[in-house]
Amino acid sequence: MNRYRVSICLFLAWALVPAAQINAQAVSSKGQQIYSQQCASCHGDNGGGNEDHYDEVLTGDLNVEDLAEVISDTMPEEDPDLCIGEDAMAVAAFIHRKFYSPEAYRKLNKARRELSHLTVRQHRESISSIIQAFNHELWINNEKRGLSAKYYAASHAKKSRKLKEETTATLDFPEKVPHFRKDRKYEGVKEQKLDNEIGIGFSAYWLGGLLAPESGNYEIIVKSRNGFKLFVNDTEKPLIDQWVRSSDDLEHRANVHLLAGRVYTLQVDMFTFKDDSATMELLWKPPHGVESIIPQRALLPSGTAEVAVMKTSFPPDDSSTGFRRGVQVTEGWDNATTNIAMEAANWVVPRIWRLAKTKPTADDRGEKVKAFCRRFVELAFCKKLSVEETQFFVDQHFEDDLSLTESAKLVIMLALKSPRFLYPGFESRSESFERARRLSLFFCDASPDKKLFEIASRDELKDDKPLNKQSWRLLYSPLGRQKLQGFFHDWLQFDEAAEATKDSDRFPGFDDRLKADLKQSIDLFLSDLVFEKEADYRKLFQSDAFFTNARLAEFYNLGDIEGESFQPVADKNADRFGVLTHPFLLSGFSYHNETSPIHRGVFVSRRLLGRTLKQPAAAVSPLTEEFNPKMTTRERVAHQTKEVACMACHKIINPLGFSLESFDAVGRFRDKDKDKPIDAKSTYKTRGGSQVAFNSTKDLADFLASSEDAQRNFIQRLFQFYTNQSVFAYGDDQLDKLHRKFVDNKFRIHDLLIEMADVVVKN
Amino acid sequence: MQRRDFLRLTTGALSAGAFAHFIPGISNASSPAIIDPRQKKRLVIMFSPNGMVADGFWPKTEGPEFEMNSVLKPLEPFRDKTLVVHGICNKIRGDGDSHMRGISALLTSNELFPGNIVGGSDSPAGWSKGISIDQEIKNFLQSNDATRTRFGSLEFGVQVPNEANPWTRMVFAGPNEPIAPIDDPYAMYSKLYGKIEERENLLRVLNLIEKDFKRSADGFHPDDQQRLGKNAHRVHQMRNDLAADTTELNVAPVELSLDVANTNDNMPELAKMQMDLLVNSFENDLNRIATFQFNKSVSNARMNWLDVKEGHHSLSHLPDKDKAAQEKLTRINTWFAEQVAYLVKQLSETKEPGTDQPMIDNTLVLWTNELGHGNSHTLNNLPFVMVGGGFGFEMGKYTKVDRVSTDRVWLAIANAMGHNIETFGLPSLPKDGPITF
Repeated sequence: MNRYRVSICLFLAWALVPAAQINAQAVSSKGQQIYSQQCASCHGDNGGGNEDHYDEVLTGDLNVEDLAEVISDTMPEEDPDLCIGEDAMAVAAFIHRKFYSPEAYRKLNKARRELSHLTVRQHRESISSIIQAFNHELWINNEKRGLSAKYYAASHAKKSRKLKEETTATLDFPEKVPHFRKDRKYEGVKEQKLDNEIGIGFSAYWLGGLLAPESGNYEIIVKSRNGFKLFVNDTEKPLIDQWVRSSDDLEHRANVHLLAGRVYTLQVDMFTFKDDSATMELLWKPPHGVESIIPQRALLPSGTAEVAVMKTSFPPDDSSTGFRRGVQVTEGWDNATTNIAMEAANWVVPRIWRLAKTKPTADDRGEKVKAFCRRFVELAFCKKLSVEETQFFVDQHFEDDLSLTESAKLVIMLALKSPRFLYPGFESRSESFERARRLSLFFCDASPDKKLFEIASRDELKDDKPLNKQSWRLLYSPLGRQKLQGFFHDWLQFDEAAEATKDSDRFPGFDDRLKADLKQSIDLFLSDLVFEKEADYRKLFQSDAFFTNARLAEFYNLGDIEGESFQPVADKNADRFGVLTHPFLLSGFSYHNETSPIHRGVFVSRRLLGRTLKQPAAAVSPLTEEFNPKMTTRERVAHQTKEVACMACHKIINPLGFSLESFDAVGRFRDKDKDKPIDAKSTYKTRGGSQVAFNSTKDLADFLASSEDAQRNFIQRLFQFYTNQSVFAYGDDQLDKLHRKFVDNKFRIHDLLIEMADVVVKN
Repeated sequence: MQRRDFLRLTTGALSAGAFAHFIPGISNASSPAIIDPRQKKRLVIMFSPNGMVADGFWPKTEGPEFEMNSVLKPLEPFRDKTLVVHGICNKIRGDGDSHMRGISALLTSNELFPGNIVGGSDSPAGWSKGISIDQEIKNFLQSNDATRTRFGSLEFGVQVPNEANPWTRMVFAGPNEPIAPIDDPYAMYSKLYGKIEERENLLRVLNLIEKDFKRSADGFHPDDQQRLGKNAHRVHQMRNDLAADTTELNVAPVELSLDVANTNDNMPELAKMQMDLLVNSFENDLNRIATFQFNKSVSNARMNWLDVKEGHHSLSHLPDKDKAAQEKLTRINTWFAEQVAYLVKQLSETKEPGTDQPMIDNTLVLWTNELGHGNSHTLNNLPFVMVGGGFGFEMGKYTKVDRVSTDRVWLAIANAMGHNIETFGLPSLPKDGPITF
C-alpha cells in the first residue's frame, strides 16, 4: 500500500515538471546502482544485451514514465516485484539518459556517412542512364497520350494509298480496326487494277512510346487474327512476330523487363491480304497488376531510342537499419557486378555503330568508337579522365590485335567493374562533377544524364542558382517522379498492402482487378498531390479526394462514374482523409473477412508516427469471430491484448487502430459491427507523454498532419530513402534543421526535397 | 598476358570437367571422342536459291565418266567423292507459291499450313506442317549418349534477310516451328565460343581491376577501408578461380577476320568465315548436323564481285534464250559451287581429331536448291549434288532417277546415319522407302 502511494506521488511529480529538472542526479545514481545489480547481467552494461540472456539492444522511444511502468510491471523477469515504483522510475530515468532513448542511442552509436557501393536500383539505373546519354533526349509532353496511327489501303505502307493518319487512345479493336473495310472499297483509292493488290490489302502502323509505371516483368498480350509484329523497346527484333499467321491462335504473349520512369518505343505493324477482317487488341499485365488493355495514360505518341535494361539479378540490398544501403560485399554481389558489366558490354556491342555515331564501314570508325568508349568511362565515373586514366581505361585496349568491338567490350567491362563506378565516393572529382553525381543519385538513383553531365563539364554547378535549377529539373523528370513514387510505396508498405485477399462471400467484387484499381487510385492521389498541387504534407491526411473509375465507384458507392479513367471525387458516404483512409491501405491492413485494428495500429504507429515497437514476445494467433460471435472486433482485440506484457506496445497500437474502425475490411464506411454501433473513440499517449483524444478518424488525421513526431518521422524516412544514409550522419541537429525549414515552407514536400538535396550536395 | 597467348594456353589442355560450367554440355559430349571416329557421321546441307541454269550444270553422260561442266568444275578435284543426281522432285503441292514451297517444303517434304502470306498467284500459306530432315536426324543423334553433341545441329546462313516468312525459312523443329539461320559469323562464333571469349576478357579486366583498387586514395575510415579490401579480395579470388579453369576443346576456336560488316558485298568473306566456323565446330564435335543457307528463296542478292549487277532473282526470270542472262546465272551458280568446293576442301584437309583420317570421309555435303529451273519455277529435277563419304552411297558418278520425291532421299540419308525411319514428311506421299544410290 505504501509503495503504491509513493508511485502515485511520483507520477504526479513527473506529470507536473519536466524530467530533467527533478533531482536528476540523485535519481540517476540510484538508477545506475539498481541497473547494475538487477538488470546488467542480462541487458549488459550499456543495454547492448547478452548472448545468453537477452541479445537485443535495449533502445526504444517510450518516455521515462512509460518505461518505468513497463519495468515496474515486468522486470526483472524472474521477480517483477523486485523493482517497482520509485526504484523502477530511477532505473528508467538512468537508462533513458544513458542509452535507451533515441538521442542517447545515437550518441553511443554515432552515425557517419559510409563509403557505400551503388544500391541495386542505382546500379541498374546508372547503366541505363550512361547509355541513354548517347541518345537524343526525349521531351515528354505530359498533355499528350495515345499512339500515332497510320492506315493504308495496301498490305504495306504505300504513300499513295494512305487512308488516315491520327492518334489513337488505345489499341482496343476486337471487332474492326479503324478505317478497314470488309468490302475493300476505300474512298479515294481508285478501283482500277494498278497491280494485283488494289482494294485487297490493308495495313495499319501504330507507333509511340510506352511508359512503365513500375520496374519489373511486363507480359504483353496481342489479340489479333491478322499478320502483325510487335516491337517493344528493341526496334530491330520484334517481341512478337506473327507476320506469318499459320494457326488460328488469337492470343500471343511475350514478356519484357522494363524499368520504371523510362519511355520505351512501342510499335505494332499489322497487315491483311485477302482477309475478311482486321482486328487488334493490345494488352498488358504489369508487375502486381491485372491483364487489361494498355491504358491511354501509359502511351505516348512518339517513340524514343532503345533503353538498355539490364536483367542481371542481384542479392537484395542491406536494409537492416531500416533503409537500403550499399554496404554488403558478398560473393553474390561481386558476381552480380561482374555479370552486369558483361551484360552491359554485350548489350552495347551489337549497337556500337549507332551509339558511336559511325558505321562499320566508315573510315572514322576507329576514332569514333574510341571516343564513345572514353565518354562511356567518363559518364560512369562522373568526371573527365586524366591522360593517365585515359591510357589505363581506354587507349591500352585499342592497341592489341583486337577488333573495335572487342576493345569496346573490354573498356565497358573495366569501367563498370571499377571501384570508381561501384563506389561513387571512391575518388574525388571537381566540385561541379561531385555535385552533379550527388544530385543525380539523390533525385534519380542514377548517373547524371546528358544535360547534367554537360553542365558539370562546364563547371557550372558551383553556383547556387544553376544547382537549384537542376534540382527542380531532376525532381520533375520521369526518373525523379519515379523515385518519389518509390518512396511512397516503400513508406506506406505498398508491397504488404497489395497482398490483401478478401472473403468473396462477405465482400463480393473485391478481386484482383479492383485491387489494381485501388493501387492506381492511391498512386494517382499521391502524384496529383505532389506534382500537380502544392505538395502539402498535411494533405496526405487531410485531403478528401478519392480517385475513382467506374468499377471503384460502383463498389464504394461513389455515384455515376463511367469508364476506365480516374477522377477525384468526394465520398458521400464518409469523410475520407487522404492515404489514411484510402481503401488500398485499409483493406491491405485488414484480415480477409474483418478489420485488423492491430495491423492498422502498427502501420500508423510505425510508419506514420515513427514509433519503435518491439516484436511480440511470442507469436499469437488472433482471436477469431468464433471465440465469441457477439463481440465486436474491437472488443476481441481489447480482450486479447489486455495482459500487462502485451500492453507495453498495445497501448500505443490499439487506440490508433481503433480510431479506424469506421472502415470495414475493404475500406468501406460502416457504422455498425456485430449490430453494435462502431466505437472509434480512443486516447493515444504521445512519445512526449501527452494524451490525445480521438473522437473520430478525423481527429487522428488532424493529429497526423500536425504532430511533430509524425513530421519528423516523415522527414527522416524521406531523407534515408533518398540518400541511403542516416540523417544524423549529416549532423546531430540535421533533422531539427530540416524540420524547421519544413515548417517554414508550409510543409511543402518538394521544397523539403530541394532542401535535402542542398544538404547532401554541400556537406 | 595477351589474349591470343591465353587462347593457346587454354586450348588443348584436358582437365576434366573444370570448364563444364562455362560450356554447358561439353563434358557430356566428351565420351564420343573415344569412339572410333569412323563411326561419326556428319551431314551438311547447303542451299542456294533461284533454281539452276539449263545448260552448264547437268552432265550429258551418266555414270563415272560424267562431265563436270562450268558450274560443277570447281568440284573436279573431288570427282571420286561426288554424286550428282537428276530426277529428284519436290512433290509438295497445296498452299504457298513455288518459291515458298521450294524452300519451306524442301527439307520437310511436307505441306505448308494455310496462312496469310500470299506470293505469286497461289493461295496464302503459313509455316511448314512438319519437321525438316536435319532436325529429325539431329533429334535422333541427340537422343543417344554416344552421338550426342553440345548443339546437335547448327544453322548457318549467309546474308539471309532479317525477316521471318516462308521464303526465308528452310529448317523446322516441328510444325509451325521455323528455326532462323544465324547469318552473322560473329554471332555464330559467340554461340560456339562466347563463354571462352568472355572468360578471356574477364581475366584481363579483373587483372586491371586489381590494379585499380590499389590506386585508391588514402584517408578512408577504417570500416570503409575494410569494405574496399574485402571487395578487392573478392576480385582477386574470382580472377584466380577463373585462371584455374581450362577447356576441353580439341582445337582452338578459329580466328575470324575482324570487323567484317554483314553486307551484300561482303558475301564471299562472310561465306568463308561461316564455313571455317562450320569445320571448326565439327573439329570440336559441337554438332554433327549443319545447314548452310545462302540468302533466301527469291533472293535478289547482287553478286557485284562477279561483275553481275542485276539481282539474282530478276536474272533467274529471264528466258533461257537470253544468253547474257544465262551466262551471268552460270557465273553465279559456279560461284556457289566454288563455295561447296571450299568447304569440301577444308573437310578433306582437316583430320578427324587424333587420327589421320580426313574429315570428309565421315561427312556428306549435299548442295541443293529451291527450284529445278528459275524461269519455269518448276519444283522438279532439283539440282542434287552430294560430296563426301561414309554413308555407303556409291560416289563418283552422275545418275538419273525417275521423278523421285525428296522424302526418299531424306530417308536414305537418315538410314545411312543410323536413324532407321521408314517414312518421312507428308503422310499421303507414296511409301516407296529410301532411294538407293
